[in-house]
Amino acid sequence: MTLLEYINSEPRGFFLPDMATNGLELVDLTPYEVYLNPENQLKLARTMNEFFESDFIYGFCDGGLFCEILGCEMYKPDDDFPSVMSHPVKTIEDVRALNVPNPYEDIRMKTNLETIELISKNIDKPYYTSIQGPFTLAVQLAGATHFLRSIIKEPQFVKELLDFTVQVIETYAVAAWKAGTKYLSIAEPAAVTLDLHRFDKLVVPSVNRIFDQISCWKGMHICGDTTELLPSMIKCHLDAISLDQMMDYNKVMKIIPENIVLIGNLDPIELVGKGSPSKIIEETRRMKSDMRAYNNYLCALG
Amino acid sequence: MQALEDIVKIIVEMREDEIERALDKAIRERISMENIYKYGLNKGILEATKLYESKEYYIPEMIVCADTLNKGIEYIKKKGNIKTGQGPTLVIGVVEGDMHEIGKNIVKILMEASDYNVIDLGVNVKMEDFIKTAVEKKAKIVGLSSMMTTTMIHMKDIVKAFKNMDIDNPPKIIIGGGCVSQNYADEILADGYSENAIEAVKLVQNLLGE
Repeated sequence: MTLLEYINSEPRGFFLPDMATNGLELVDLTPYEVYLNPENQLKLARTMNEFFESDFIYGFCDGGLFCEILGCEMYKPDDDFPSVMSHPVKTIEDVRALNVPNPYEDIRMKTNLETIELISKNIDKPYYTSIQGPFTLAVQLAGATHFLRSIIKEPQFVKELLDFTVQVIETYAVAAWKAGTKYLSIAEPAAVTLDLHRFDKLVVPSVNRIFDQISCWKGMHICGDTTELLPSMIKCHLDAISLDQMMDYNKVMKIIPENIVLIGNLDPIELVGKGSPSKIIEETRRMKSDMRAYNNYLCALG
Repeated sequence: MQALEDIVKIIVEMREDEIERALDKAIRERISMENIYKYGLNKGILEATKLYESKEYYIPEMIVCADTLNKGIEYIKKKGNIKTGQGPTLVIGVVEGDMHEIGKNIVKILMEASDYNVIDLGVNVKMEDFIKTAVEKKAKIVGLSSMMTTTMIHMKDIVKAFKNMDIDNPPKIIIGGGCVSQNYADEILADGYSENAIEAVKLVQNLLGE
């Protein structure tokens, strides 16, 4: 079954809310108590499934996984996702000294694979996972300013680092798919800094190298204003696109091919974070009404 | 003058390796340091900014243009007394818990191009550091950046702290970043919000009545 067929398998309209860190509060656990323990991941997934019922199931998002394993110093708050504090990869020599982690040996990756298997076996819904994309991982490893500068000043460094990040993500993505991931989304927020030409050169082929190795449903998410990048995002070998809440889906939908699912884009901050329940209901109904004419729309947060 | 035009061109065309030679030429022609800065280096980054505004240049180009400019500034500082950033002082930084640097860095480049004296506190900046620096340096503007919903809440505390301070001419507080909005700026009583770096320069100019 394709993603498109799945979201149309019932006439009610499907929903994919990735409720981020809300689950931590519900289960009273810190991010690393969840990341390092598949049973806790299952507990969180079950709790989220009860409180925010969805047509998909997911573990606690591990967006910093690759950076952590590859040696970035991480900021680890008890109530939020970890984030990268240092960017250790500055030269071609630094890139060449890196090794692609083996997902079946590295403890963090291995635990995540166990989590995917455990949740998939216990909750009968398609398992959704979001991972960092190769361009964004490269930006995190090198630092945004240094990496973007290197696009002009040191293209070989960019080429080799991107080649490495593709290998890291591809290896993990294949393992995650084999472990039971049904829908794998690649997040490329850093790609919003690029123009269309560079997006075509640096992002599209890198993402496609990964997507071509897996046979589950494949999606891409980019935050911010992606109006200019959208024609190239569609060139990726994907089943779904998810965009920021700032994008006007009535306009976006007109250029999305019928075989690609458009996911989003209720405002997670102004609406879900701060809005009243009645306002959330009203906006969700408006969004679904606007998209009713299309069978390739999946309601979600932006 | 050709020497100044060459400096402008070198910055716009990101020819970092050639900037020192071009500056030497201008110095040899006895062009004043002030004019080298104003009509060469600064004009160069302003020209690059125009290309960024018209979307002929993107963030990578702006970074390398700024690198070329900064190399030039460092070089002429060694050669003579030169004053840069003579406009009002701005203190900018990314709030505590947040490490996203690029938006703030672009704001810095464009503000410096507009001759503001920018003090960049970096990322993961504590409220106390924003306050201490802004007071010590008599900042006219404090720019707060956040890309995360869990760190944007620090902006509210920082704005409140500045509003409660008993000082003459307290700085105006502006905010930006992927997760914040005009609504949020209004909610926390910030003095302004901008969606991008170009708008941030216009916002500062408006707030300072320029």
